[in-house]
Amino acid sequence: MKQAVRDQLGRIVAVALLATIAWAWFWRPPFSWTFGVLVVIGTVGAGIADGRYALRRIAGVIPVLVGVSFVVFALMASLPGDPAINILGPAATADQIAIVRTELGLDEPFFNRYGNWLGGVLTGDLGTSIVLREDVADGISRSMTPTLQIMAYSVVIALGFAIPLGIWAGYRQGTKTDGTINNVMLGFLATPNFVLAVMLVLFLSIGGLSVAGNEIGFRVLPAARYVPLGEDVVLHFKHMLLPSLALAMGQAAVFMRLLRSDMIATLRLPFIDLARSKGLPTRRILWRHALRPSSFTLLTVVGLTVGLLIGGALIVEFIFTIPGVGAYIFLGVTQRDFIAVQGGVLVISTLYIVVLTMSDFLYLSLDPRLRGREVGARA
Amino acid sequence: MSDASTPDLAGLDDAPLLDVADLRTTFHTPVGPLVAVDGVEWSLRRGARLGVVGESGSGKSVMSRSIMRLLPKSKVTSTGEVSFDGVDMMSLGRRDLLEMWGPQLAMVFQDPLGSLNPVMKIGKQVGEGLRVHRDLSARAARSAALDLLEEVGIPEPHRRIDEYPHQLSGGMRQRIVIAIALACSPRLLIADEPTTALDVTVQAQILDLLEAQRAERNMSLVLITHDLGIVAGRTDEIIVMYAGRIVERAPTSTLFSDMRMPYTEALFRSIPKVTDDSHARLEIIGGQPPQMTDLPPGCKFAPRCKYAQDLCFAEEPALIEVPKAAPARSSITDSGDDGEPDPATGVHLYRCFYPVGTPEAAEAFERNIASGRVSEAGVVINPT
Repeated sequence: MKQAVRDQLGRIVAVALLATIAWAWFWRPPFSWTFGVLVVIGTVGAGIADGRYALRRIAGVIPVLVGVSFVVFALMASLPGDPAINILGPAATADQIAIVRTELGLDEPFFNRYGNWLGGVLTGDLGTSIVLREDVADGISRSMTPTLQIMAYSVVIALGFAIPLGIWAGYRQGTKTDGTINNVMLGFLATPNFVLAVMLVLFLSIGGLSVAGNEIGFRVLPAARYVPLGEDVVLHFKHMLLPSLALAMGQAAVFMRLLRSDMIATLRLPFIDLARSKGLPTRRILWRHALRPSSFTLLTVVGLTVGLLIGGALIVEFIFTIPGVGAYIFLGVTQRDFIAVQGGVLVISTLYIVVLTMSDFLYLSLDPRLRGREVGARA
Repeated sequence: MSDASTPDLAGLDDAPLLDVADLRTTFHTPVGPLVAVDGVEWSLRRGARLGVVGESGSGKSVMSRSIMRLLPKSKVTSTGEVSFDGVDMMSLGRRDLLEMWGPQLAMVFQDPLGSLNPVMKIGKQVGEGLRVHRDLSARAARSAALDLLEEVGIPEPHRRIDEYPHQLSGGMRQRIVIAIALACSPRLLIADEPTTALDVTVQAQILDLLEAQRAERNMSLVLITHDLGIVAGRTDEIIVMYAGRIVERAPTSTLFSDMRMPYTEALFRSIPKVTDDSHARLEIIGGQPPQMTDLPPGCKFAPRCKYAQDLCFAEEPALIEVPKAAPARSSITDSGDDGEPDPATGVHLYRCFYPVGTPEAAEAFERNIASGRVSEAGVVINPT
C-alpha cells in the first residue's frame, strides 16, 4: 500500500478508536461488545501501521494472556479460606456448605474448573460475583469507567504540565529557570500522591486550616463522590479534578524530567543547527523539530503509567470515594470473591498488554526509521 | 567546473557583499580562553567564490558560524566587524538575524544525515523556510519544494518529497541539504565541508551542483574544506587558515602558482597526484595542530615547519603583502588552472619570515638539515 494512503487510513482508524472509547463511556454498551470492537479496530489499525510486525506482536500477546489467566486462576484457587463459609457465615452446617460448593463448582477438579472458567471468558462470560450477586463483566465495566477516566485525565494533565516545562527546561538547561522548574517538580515527585490528595482536599474543598477563626484555604471543589460523565458533564469534571490532579503531579515530574534530558540531547544534534540556519523562530524549532525526536522515552513511560493506572489507583480512589477498579478488586479480595477477583485481574492484565502493544505501534508513527527497518525486513 | 561566467559578472558590482574585519571568536573553556578565530579579515564580492582551507581545528567552521552569528549564546564571545551588504551583522538582534538566515545567508553542513531531521518528511524540511520567510501556504510551499528538489537533481521528486532522510543515499541527502539552503534564494551560501562525509564519486557531483546553482543565482559562495584539491578549480580566491589565523590569502591561480606560506606548501604536497607512482607514499604534515588553549609565542606553524628558524619561534610574523614585482615561480604549477589573476582581488598576503621559493627559505631548509632538525626529505624530526 502507498505510504500516503496508509497514513490516511491510519488516521481514520485512530479516530475510530477514540470514538469507540467515547461511545463506550457515554452509552455503556455491554462490556464484551466494547472490548470486541476495540480489539477489531486495534487489529485493523495495527495492520495498517505495519502488517507483519503487528501480526507478530499480536500473535505474541495471545500466549501471554493464556499464561496470565492460568496464573491468576491458580493463585485464587490456592488462597486459604472457603468462599462458601464466607457466603453462609460461621453458623453454616456441613450440608449447607456442600450445597453451596456444588453450586459454585468448587467440588470439581482444578483443571476442570479452569477449563470451565476459560471457556466462559472466551464467550464474554466472566461469571457471577459471589458477594455482589451480579455479572462480573458488568461490575468491572461499571468500575472500569471511573478508573479509565481518572487515568486519562491525570495523564493528560501530567503531559500538559510536562511537555511545555520539559521543553523549556531543556532549552534553558543550566539556567535559573531550569533549576526552578526542576526543583518544583522534584518536590511533586517526592510527595506521595495520597499526601497530595489530602492536601488538595484540605485546601481546596474543606476550607483549609483555621487560624484564629480565619480559614486559610478554599471551598471551591467537591472532596468526594463520583458523578458519571453522562449524568452531568460539569459536575463530573468538578469531581474528577482533585483525584486526577493528585495522581497527575507525580507523573508530570517524571515525564518532565525525561523529556528535559532527551531535549537537551536532541538540541545538540546537527539538524537543530540546520533548522536555526534556516531562520526558524526558536518556538518552531523546539516544537516542530526537537520535540518529536525527543519523545521516544517519554512514550514508553507514558505507556507504562497508563498501563499501571488501569489497575486503579487504590488509595486515591479510596480518599475520594470513587467506585473504581481498585476498590472493586479490593472488595473482592477481602470477601474471598474469587470469581470477581480473577475476572478483574484478567481484564486489567489484558488491557495492560493491549496498552503496551499500542504504545509500541505508536513508536512506528513517531519514528519513521523503525518503519523503514520493518520494510527492510519484509523485502 | 566551468568558471567562464565569473569574469563578466565580476565587473558588475565592485562593492563587497561581505566584509569581515578583525573577527575574533573566543570560547570560554574551563581551562581558559580559547581564541578559535583570531583577527580574521577578508571580503567577498557579489557572485564571487571564496575557498577556506585548513586542517580540523583551524577555526574555519567557527569563523563561518561567527559570520552567520550561529554560535551558542553562552560561553562564546565574538568581536570585530562583519558587514553583509552594508548591514552590521554583529549588532543585529535575534529577530533581525532570523530574517537574515535563509533569504540572505544560508549554510550547507558537513554531515548530511545528521543535518536532516530524521522524523520529518523531506518536502516539509525543504519548504519550511519558505513557509516562515515568505508566508507561503502549505500547498504553495510543497510545490516550491518540488521545484527545488528537481533543481538539485533529485530523481523522482514526486516520490522523494514524502520520504524521510533515512530512505535516501548520502549524496541525495546532501542534495536535500543544498535544496534547503537554496530555498529562500540566499545571496551568500556558506558550504562547510559539504563533501567530506561523501563518497569520492559523489563529491564532484555535489561540488558541480553547488557551482551551477551559484552561477545561476549569482550567489556568493564560501567553500570551506580541508582539501586544497577541492577548491583548486572552483574558487576565485583562497584563504588558508591555521590556528584561527589567516596564514595565506591569494587569488586561486596565484596561490597555486606562487604559494608563499610553508603550511600551504605542505597542504599542497599532501594531495595525491595522478602523476605519482601508484604506491608512492603520500607526504604528510608531521606533528599535530597546536593546542589552542596553549599557543606557542611565535609562528603557530613553526614546530611543524621545515623552514623554521629561531626567529619563527620567538616572534609571530605579520600578514604581509607579496611585492608586485616578486618573481613568479613555476615549479608547482601542475594544477592546470593557469587563468589570469582576478583583477579585483589581486592581493596576495602571507604570514612567514622565510616564504617558500625565496633563497632565504632554501638557506633555512639547508640549515635545518645540517642541525638535524629536519630530514633530507623535509620531515620535521625534532620540533623545537
